[in-house]
Amino acid sequence: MKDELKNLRETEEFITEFKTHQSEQFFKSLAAEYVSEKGEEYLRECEELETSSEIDDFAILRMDAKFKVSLMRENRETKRSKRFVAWGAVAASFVAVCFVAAYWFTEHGFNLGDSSRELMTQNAARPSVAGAVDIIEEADDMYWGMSDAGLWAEADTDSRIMPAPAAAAGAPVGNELEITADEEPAPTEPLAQAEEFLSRFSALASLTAPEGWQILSLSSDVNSHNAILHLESASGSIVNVLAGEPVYDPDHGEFREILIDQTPAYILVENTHSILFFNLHDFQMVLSTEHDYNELIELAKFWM
Amino acid sequence: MNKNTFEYLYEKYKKLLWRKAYDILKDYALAEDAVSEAFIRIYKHFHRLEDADSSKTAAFLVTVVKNVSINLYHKRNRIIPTDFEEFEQASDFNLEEIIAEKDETARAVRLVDRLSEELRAVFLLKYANDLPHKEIGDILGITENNVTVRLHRAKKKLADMAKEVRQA
Repeated sequence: MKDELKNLRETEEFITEFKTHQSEQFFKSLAAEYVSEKGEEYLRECEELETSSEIDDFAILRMDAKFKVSLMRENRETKRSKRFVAWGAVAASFVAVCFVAAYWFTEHGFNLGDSSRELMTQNAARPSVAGAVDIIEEADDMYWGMSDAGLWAEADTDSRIMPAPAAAAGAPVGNELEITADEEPAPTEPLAQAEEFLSRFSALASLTAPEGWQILSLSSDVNSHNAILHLESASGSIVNVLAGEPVYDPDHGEFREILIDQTPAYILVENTHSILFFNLHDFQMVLSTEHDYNELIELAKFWM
Repeated sequence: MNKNTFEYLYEKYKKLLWRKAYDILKDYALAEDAVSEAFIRIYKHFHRLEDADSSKTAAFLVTVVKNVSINLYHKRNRIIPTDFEEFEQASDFNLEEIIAEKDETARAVRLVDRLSEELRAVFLLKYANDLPHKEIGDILGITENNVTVRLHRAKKKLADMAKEVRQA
């Protein structure tokens, strides 16, 4: 307990010390001065290059061609996605109209007869992974989703289903995709990746939130195959709990080890937000908040 | 800015950006790809640029092309960038020189110059261009989370250096 308090006090001192040296205004003025000075230098360089023969004209011509092709492709894709959205809206409206019409006719218009009605009820009640699935991610010929039957993944024409975890079953599943261009995942079997993702997702989804915290959503990172649980505290702190590859490296040197209930945890104190890193259910977890650092400690204690 | 202005932007800066990309990649074809890719990213956000001839715009464009080039460099060498220090400036941090600097602007430039290109890009896009984290991530091709991490590291490093200068 003594060690724990000592470590926490040291961490607090570190925060206070650090905060005295951080000032948004200071950084803004640094950036403005840098941009003004360097920008002038670039503008001068730009003028010099206009008249110099240092750069091969042929290279510039090739670059022009490449850029024009890329720009055309970009514009075409933008138009296509806009068209797709427009057609999607039309299709959705059509389906909605059909649904309303069908409902109205079954209630007021046609008499479908008992056998037809019974068949419709059976179909509606039958759990169908393919039909009810809410696709979370689609990448590398692999689909991950959530259905009434549970978490679901399919790769190489094979599929895996895990029972839906009870605790977070009510949490909405986010569909945000984060593409990390400079962090290419190591090539592994798609199905193994799917299973790994499912177990991470399942571990996160089984977490219950302590009093005063609300689970906002579950989402995932398409490249790292990490699962992320988003929570919000009563005071408005947003915390992201990540299962999978840690974003932060504990050996980086910016971490401080502390003990929470005799369990080692690593704390990284940042200037505008705090990050808590610890081992939970064999997964590396990262929590971050831009608000109250003490809330993170409480959250960590609840789970550890 | 309208389409014509974007074309003007491209014509004005393409040689400069090509040279900056070539300085990093040392490869004609890759430098062309880098500039092309950089301009596509800028195209999506060019409504943010106010004046095509300003020093701020020039600095913004160079920042983007340098980062695209570094990403291409990593891909070419099949290196997953886990160490942000890889593109650290070659010269050592010379505290005496920065302290001796009488001009505040020169001192600020030297401090920011000490950041690696990857950290500097995030720092400048945030504080010089006022871009939200999501847009910074889009432009640099990294996640929002990564933007937060790099920004923290940049600020911490600058704060540490500023502290050293003050104490000296």
